[in-house]
Amino acid sequence: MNTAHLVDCGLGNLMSVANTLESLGCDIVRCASPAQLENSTHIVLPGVGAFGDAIAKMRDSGLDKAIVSAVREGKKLLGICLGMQLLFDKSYEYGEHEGLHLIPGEVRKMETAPFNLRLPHIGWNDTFMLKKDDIFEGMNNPTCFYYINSYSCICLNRENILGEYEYGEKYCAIVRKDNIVGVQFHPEKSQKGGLKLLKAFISM
Amino acid sequence: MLKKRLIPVLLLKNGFLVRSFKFHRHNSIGNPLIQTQRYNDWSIDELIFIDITRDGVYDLRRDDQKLKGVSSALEVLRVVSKTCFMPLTFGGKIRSLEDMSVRFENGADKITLNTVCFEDPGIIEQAAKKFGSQAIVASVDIKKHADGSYEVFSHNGSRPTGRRPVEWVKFLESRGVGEIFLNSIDKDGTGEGYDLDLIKGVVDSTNLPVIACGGVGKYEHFVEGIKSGGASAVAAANIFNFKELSDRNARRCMIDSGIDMKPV
Repeated sequence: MNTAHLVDCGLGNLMSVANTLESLGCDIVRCASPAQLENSTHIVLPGVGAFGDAIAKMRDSGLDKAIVSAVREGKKLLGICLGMQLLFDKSYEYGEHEGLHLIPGEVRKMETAPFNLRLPHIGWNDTFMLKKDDIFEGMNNPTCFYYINSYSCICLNRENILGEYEYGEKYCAIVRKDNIVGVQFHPEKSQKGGLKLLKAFISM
Repeated sequence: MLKKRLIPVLLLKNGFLVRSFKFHRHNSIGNPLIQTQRYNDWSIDELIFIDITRDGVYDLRRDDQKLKGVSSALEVLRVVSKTCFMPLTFGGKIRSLEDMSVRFENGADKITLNTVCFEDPGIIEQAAKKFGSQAIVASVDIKKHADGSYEVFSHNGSRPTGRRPVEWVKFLESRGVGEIFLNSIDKDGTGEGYDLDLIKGVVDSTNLPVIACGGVGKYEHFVEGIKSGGASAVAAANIFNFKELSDRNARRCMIDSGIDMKPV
């Protein structure tokens, strides 16, 4: 089984992601500095918290540039929740922040008021797969995943969207651009479906 | 669309799982690790652990259950998070940002704050900024007075605060809390059903998801909490401890009533 390199910028539920990957037989390397990413094949960028803090911490440590160059070398990258949002150009969470520019698009607060829906969007939601992809190996369509977010990604290129969820409007749940995958939900908290997705990623 | 959630609550006292009655009587009912293993059959949406230990004594070692002994509620969390790939919320005795960090490091996805919100209200905003609103759940314990009015209580339901539920929840929302865990002290452990007026009043006054708790004695009470109370999630403790297959059967009952749930 592969080794997964977990990007650690001192944020979020790193432990949960590590536990889940370990249960799949994956070795885990926690990476707090760019040098630790050197021997990686599969990089996971987990994240809960605020976009601005996260990107600032990544810039301070140089992890932002390290991740971008790793992806250029063809290494596989999985962004989870905030980690997915960081892949985009820009976020409007508490101000305006530049992201990693790996996938064209931006991150905005979900428009729930017209639909009389609550925020944050917390819980299990059906996730619809729009096309065939090896990341969906063995999954039903739709599959229920666990979400916890108030902001969501607006993907500029429709062809990057692999899956959607609905909360008043339809939102981007899964993006893929070549060796980069982003998921808005938490596969590490989504029981069987989540385990399948993580397994598919580390087998990529 | 987003599913409604069914959430077992595990009360931990001195490392033991306890049942609770009106927040003051607690009977030990066993090893929390055995109980959570049962939940690991994928039919549960989420788990909430509340540590109500007061004297700081933990002792699971005398419990010979094939599992290694655990000496603290945090250790329970750590062990559970290794095998339960579902959202875990952890609360009780959290007074500082450091306390919160420790919970997250031990596997919590969300933490609940209660008494500290009265003692140090500024900490709510700091916590929301540091960990994100989505990770901060406010636990709100309510007592109903003889005249029908409601009051928020702190310190494990022992201290009146003079706050009305709706006003307090609005305050918590304005400070960046992401979810409300609403408990009725009077209904706790009675099995009489939720205090639906209380739930509806709070749900109507906030845009945050509300988890209803306190009073469930049969599966139909969960249905009422969603349909009449308007809660986003329904929680309970005792019914999950004392009824066989309660997680699955409760979910089936809710689905049969037309509530959109994650499948059994």
